[in-house]
Formats: sequence, C-alpha cells, structure tokens
Amino acid sequence: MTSGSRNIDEQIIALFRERSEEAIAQTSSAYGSLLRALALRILGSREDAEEVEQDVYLAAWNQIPPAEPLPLLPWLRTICRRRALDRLEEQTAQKRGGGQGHLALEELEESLPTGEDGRHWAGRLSLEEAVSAFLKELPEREQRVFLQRYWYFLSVEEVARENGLTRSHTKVLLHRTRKKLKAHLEREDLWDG
Amino acid sequence: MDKKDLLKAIGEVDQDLVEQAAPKGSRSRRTQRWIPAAVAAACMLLGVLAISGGWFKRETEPEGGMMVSKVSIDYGEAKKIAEESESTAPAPAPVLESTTAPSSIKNELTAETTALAETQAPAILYQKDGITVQEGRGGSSGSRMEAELAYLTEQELFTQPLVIRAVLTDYKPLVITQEYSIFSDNKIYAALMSFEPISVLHGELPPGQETVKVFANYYTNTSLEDLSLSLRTAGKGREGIIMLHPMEEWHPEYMTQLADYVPGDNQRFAIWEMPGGGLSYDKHAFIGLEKSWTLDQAEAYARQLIGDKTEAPADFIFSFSYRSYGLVPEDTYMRSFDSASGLYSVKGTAHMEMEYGAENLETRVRVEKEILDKIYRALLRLKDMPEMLSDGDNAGGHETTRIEISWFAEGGSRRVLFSGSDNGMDRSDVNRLTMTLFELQQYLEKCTDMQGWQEKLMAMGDKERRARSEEIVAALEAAFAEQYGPGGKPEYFRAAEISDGGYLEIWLFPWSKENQKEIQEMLPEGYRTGMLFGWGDPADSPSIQYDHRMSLALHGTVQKQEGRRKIIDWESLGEGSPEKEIRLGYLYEDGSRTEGYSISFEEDKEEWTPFASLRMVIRGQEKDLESGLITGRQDLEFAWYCCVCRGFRPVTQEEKEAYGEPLAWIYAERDEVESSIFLVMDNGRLLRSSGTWPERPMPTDPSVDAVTALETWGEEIWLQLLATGLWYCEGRGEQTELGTPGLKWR
Repeated sequence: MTSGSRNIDEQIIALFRERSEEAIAQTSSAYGSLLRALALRILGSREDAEEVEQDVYLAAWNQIPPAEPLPLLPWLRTICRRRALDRLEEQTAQKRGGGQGHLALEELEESLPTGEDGRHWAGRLSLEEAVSAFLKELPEREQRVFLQRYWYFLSVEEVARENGLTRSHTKVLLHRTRKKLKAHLEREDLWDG
Repeated sequence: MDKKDLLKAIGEVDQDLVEQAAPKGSRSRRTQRWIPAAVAAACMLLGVLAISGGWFKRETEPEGGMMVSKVSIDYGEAKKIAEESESTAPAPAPVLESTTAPSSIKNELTAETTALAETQAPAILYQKDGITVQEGRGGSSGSRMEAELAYLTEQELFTQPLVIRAVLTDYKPLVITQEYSIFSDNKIYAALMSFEPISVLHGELPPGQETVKVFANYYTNTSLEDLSLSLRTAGKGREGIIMLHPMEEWHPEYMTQLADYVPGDNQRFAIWEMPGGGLSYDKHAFIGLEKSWTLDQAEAYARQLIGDKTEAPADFIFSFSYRSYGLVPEDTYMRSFDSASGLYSVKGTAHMEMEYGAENLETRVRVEKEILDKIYRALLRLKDMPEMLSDGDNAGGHETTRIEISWFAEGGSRRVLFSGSDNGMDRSDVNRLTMTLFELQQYLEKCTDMQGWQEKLMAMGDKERRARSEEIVAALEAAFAEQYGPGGKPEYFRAAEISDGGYLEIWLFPWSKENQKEIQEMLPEGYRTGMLFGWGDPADSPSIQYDHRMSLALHGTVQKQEGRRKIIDWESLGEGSPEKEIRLGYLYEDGSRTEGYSISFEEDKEEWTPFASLRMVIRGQEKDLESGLITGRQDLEFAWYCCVCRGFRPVTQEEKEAYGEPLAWIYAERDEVESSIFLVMDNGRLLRSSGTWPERPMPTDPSVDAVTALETWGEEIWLQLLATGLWYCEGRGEQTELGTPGLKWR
C-alpha cells in the first residue's frame, strides 16, 4: 500500500467516524468500480452487482467505527466477495444468474475431499488455514491462476489472457490445481476418525 | 464441507496472496493501460508534467483540483431522516443510488422502461443464414467488462468523422446471435439508436438529414451505462454529445438491413446529460471534462479542442523522465526524452540491459513538427497543475512512480514533478498527468524514427533472450554432467524448454522451492535469473509432444468401465500405466503416421449443455478441439449443416439414408486453415469431413464451400473413443434433463 492511498483511506475512515455521508461518496469514487466489477464477475448481473456494492457501503457504514481497516480496499473487497457469494446462493435457489460464481462453484466440486463419511475435520487447522497453506506451497504461476479464477472470479479466458497462456493450458492448470487441492484436503492429519 | 465452504475458505486466504494475484482489471484503468504499453515497448515514454503558473489561459476553465472526483448521490429518504433526527444515535445508513439522477426521475424512467419490457416480448427482427437479431432488454446480462480498446486522446475522440449534439429519439437494444458459430461466444450486444441532431460539432451531416440512425456495436450496455447511466434509464429524450466511431463492416446481408444506419462502436464515445444535472461519460477518456458541467459547457469544451490548432512556439523544448519502481527500490524502469537533443532512452533493470544490450536502449528521435505541436497542446492541459505533486506523505512509504516534466517556451519555463503512486486513485491532477503522458507516448510512437527503433529493439530482445536461454540450458547440462555424470540429472528435473519468444521454462516434478533453488544454485552466477519454473511433466507444456496415449478425463462422476469402454483419468496420463494406454499408432492423417496424437476429453463447465473440449497435440503442436453431443434437433441440424453438407446446403434424404444419423461430433482444427469434423453415426460408423475453413465459418461466404473429403472410418479406436464419449455425455444428459436421442450403440 502506498502512503498516498493510505492517506486517502484515512480520510475516508475519518469521514465514516464523523458519520458523514460523504464517506460513502468518497468510498464509491475511490473503489466503487473495482467492487462492482468483482461482484459482477461473480453474479453476472449488473443490477445484482450494484446492490452488492450498496451492501458493502452499508457494511462499512455499520462497522466503521469501531473498525478502522487500513488499507481499506482489501477489506472492502473481502466484504464484497462474501456478499456476492451470499447473493449467489439466493440466485442458485432461484435458478438464475449467469456469472462466474456458479461456474467456479461447479468446478470446485472436484476439490472436495471424498470419503468424508465417518470422519470429521480435525480442527487442528481451519479450512481457511488449510487452503492458505496449500496456496502458499504452489508455484507462483499456479497460485496466481488459481486465485484469479476463484478469488477474483475471472473467466478462464481472462485468466489465460492475464497470464499469457492459452485457454486450454489455463484449464489444464486449473484442473490440476483443483486435483492437488483435493489431495491436500484429504491429508490424514486434517481428519479425525 | 461442501463447495460453498471451499469457495468461502478461498476468500479468506492471506491478503498478501490475493494482492499478488490481482488481475490487471482490478487495478485502476490507468494502470491497465500502462502495463501493456510499458511491456510492449520496452520503450516509450512518459512523463509528467506540470505546470505553471497561469501561462496559458483558456476561456473555459475547468474546475480542477479536487482530491477525489465528486460523485453526487441521492440519499433519498434516509437523508431527511438524518436531518430531522436530533438524536445522538448513529445516523441511518445512506441509501446509495447508482445513478446521479434524483430518485424521482430515475423511478419514472425505470418505471417507463419496465413497462415497456413487460408489454413487449423480445421479437425477432431479422433472421437469415444463421444470424438472428433479437430485441434485447435493457440491463441484460450482456454487459462486458473487459473491453480492450485502443487508446484515443480526448482530441481524437472529438474529431471522429461525425460528432453531434443530439437528442436520443429511439433506442432498441439488440442481441445478435450467430447460430452457426461453433465457438462459445456467439452473441453480440448492440443497439439501434436514432438521434435528432441539435448541432454538428465535427464532420458533416448530409443535407436535409433530420435523423441520424446509429447501429452501435458491442459493449453497448457498458458504454451507455458508463458506470452510472443504466441502459434502463437511457430513455428517449436524453441529450448528449455523440461521437460516431467507425466500425468494421458487418455481415453484408445484415448491413443491407441497416442501410439507413451508421455503424459505429459506441464504447466511450458518448457524453450524456443526466436528468438531475451534470454529465455522464467515461472520465478516463475525457479527462478534461467535469462531471458537474452542463452539456453546453461540454460542447464548448469539445469545440475548443476540435478547433485547437495551436502550434508549438519555435523555441519550444520539453523533456520528461518517468521512473517506475518495482517492489524493491533498486528495481527501476525509467524512460526519458529530451526534445532539444532528440535523445530518447530507456533504462531498466538488469534483464533489460541483458536482453537488449545497454548500448541499444537509447536512440535519437527526430520529432516531426506535427508531433511537436500535438505534444505542445497536450502539455497545455497541465497549465493549472501545481509544480510539485506528491501522492500524500511518502515518508516511509514505497514510491512507485516519479515523473518529471520540464518545458520551455516563449521565454518562460515550467516544471512539474510528481512522486508517489498513480495507482488506485481518481485524483484529477494525477489523472490529467498520466493521461497527458499517454498522449505524449502516442505521439512519440508515431515518429517514424521511433517506430523503426522499436521494431529493431523487439527483434533484438527475442534474439538476445533466446541466446541467453540457450546459454543457461548449456550451463545447466554442464552442471548436471559434473554432478551426476554424463547424461545425469536430478530425479525431479523433467525438461528445459525454450519458447518462441526465447523464454526459458524449466519443468520440475515434483516442484518445490527447494528443488527450484537447487537448480538455480547449480548454475553459475549471472545465469540464475530469467527463467520460469513449472510444476509437472514436460507434457504439461503445450509445446511438448505427448506420447501415444489417449486419455478420457471424465471427472469423478464417471465410473470406470471394464473392457473396451475403458476410461483413463487425467491423473494417470502422467503415470504412463501400460494397461491404461490405448495405442493410436495405426491412425493415419494425410498418409503420415500420427505419432503425436493425444486426446483427452475435458468437460467444459462453462457450457450448460453437454459439451466437451478436446485437447490434441499433433506433431508437437497443441490444438484446441471442440466436440459436442447431439442432444436435440437443433444440434442435429447444426451437425449436418456444418459437417456433412457440402457447402451447407440442406441434407438430402438420400444422404441421410446413406450416412445414417449423427449422434455426436468432434470438431478438430488441424492447423490454421484446415479442419476436420468427425461424426459418430447411428450405424456405428465414423464419418469424417475435412477441408479448408475460415476461422469462423460464415454459411453464406462463398469461400466456405470447401469440404474436400468425406469418408467413413471404421477404426476401432475412434469408435471406442467416441462411444465412450457418447456414453459419458448421455449420462450427463440425463443429469441435466436435456434429453438425448436414442443411443443405438452396438
């Protein structure tokens, strides 16, 4: 984070603290397009994406203060991703939506550990920690490709373009990484029973 | 644990990882433009600029200097509640509207459009030869976010062939579908718009023309929306400045239907007046405009730019330097130019000097008068910028950019210095600065001398890179020989490959940081950088040939079968288990032994119909194939039209009887111009037609009548392959309730 953007973030947070509506305007101006783009990728609907963006501002309004997240963008982006995934569940229930979220969900089916019957997640590591540990062990390119697909919800074509790969090669990389994740999550030491 | 848990868990990984993986699209748009420019050129310019003190006064004085661009927001009832509330409790959360329009107006517009949408079912407007043009709906999911556009300067935008101020009198969103396209992206989002001109800013209207009809191609939703103006609110009566940007010719038959329309690419080329006041446009394209202006002010500004014939004074001299820093301060990249000497130089990190040779990173450029005038005009935009522009308090922070522009003309001088980061913020000054630099870059790139230098430099880079990669490979082999004896190598080392651009890729299996480090440390000093490491077998590389194995990777939902319908999963491909191999050695293609075939089914999750993409490596070259299961009448007809019918004429009854009914097809693009389609017939035969096809076959294009061979094959291996594929797809068809024709497989 640069000191400049930190400075902006601090100003925005100060506005939130003062309960100034300008806080929302400034947040929207600084980060709105990025948040909308992320939500749109997940949901495939501009209307839904805009609503998610508003949810993010609402969350920020409710949480700051006491929260003072610096830098602001990663915090907002994480909220945005969570809200969009929540909405994705609603979409799924209503059988609508055409964003990357549905596709990503389907793909991740491959990474689910099999043979869960009779076993329980041991709790020595949270699922989040286990996934983090897995990603850290990946080569940089695989790591980047995986996160661009499943964190930022870029389409396979977009990921390919970002990384100078063919679409086919990207799909193979993703497929193999999903398989590796599955193997990682099936490690015996993560399970009891 | 389910997949949603997993997706959420991925969302909670360390932010450092997430930030490192951030795609270009999630950075600022300015950055997005810079990156390709910086990489591609290893060359160009930059700069920054700055200011002065009132040197050049313009009649229309933009309101500048705001820290962050203003967005006006309608807080609706919440604001009233907040104002009325005297309580010390936290104010109610504002209700953010996504448009600057007052909610009352917005609601009216929305209601109007909604009513239209409800009463008018989408209608087919035009249908011929596989093209269907259908009425669209405002705000459909047709929005496209990733438009990659050529950069046009503000002045260029205002000097398109026809620039008018006009009222939108009719608007009809369209979805154009190319049914015959076998590629996934076969929809185009467009619009038909009618405008009533109020005034012509640039270009000429035909005498007596009272209406301008525009067929706006691509990205129409996004362009009209422009972040705030929803298509649903782009109702009749809206006034704007429209720049008609020429579009490549559309299908001739369709253009006949559009004889009255001017084809144009609408992306970014519109400035709309908002119902509640202010303007809506892409602020990254029109950096001199202010959102708060009226359309009259915008028009005056446009006219000023269009008519700006200002020439550079005879004594005009300027220079700039642009320095960007990597993650570590010593990792820098600097471009500089001095118009007095014409010296243009690029200085970068070691790898640049390595690839291009330090002595080649500078050149002398002769700047033509016209270019110099443009540069001068571009600098005028910076007239009111402060001399020192800093991205906040940099104490202890990491500076990513440092730009300095000095400028001398008519006895006065100016200097603008920027330090900090120009990423992630919408500060108008920084925006103006970087966009001006872009203009400088564009203009300089148009210098003949500069173009020649760049071409030379790029070629030199490829050559040098390859030479160095070859040196590294040789050094690596020598290190292996020394450590492991002749021909020896570490067990985990699989291959070293040099790509077309001369890049070196080293494959390790398993890959680990330790293994990578070990390889690097085996190399002499100076050879430990400039290579990519990959995890896997050489076969992971698209440029490397597979051996004679065929695999069907049908994912976990498919049970393995015994006997001839054996399925080999993807994982076993790398293991080379002999019992899982299916020899393809006797498959011939054009008389040559096809030892390089490797085929795998890969389910395509992006299609909601049974669809598989194939990956094939033929003689060392990767080919993407597409295949599909015929699941319904439409697909069946499609297959016949595309694969069996010479020249796309309708299939005859005789041919149907002779060939049988196709059950599935595989499209195989053998090389750039020739492709084959294999059809599995219900009589157990495999039908192949091949010939020269254009990349995107257009049924009415005369050159498409090019299917040169039609033959039936009985090769057991193909039948086995396709039967298995069919069996798989059939199972999936049941799951997705799409239905399949009766499978008459023997």
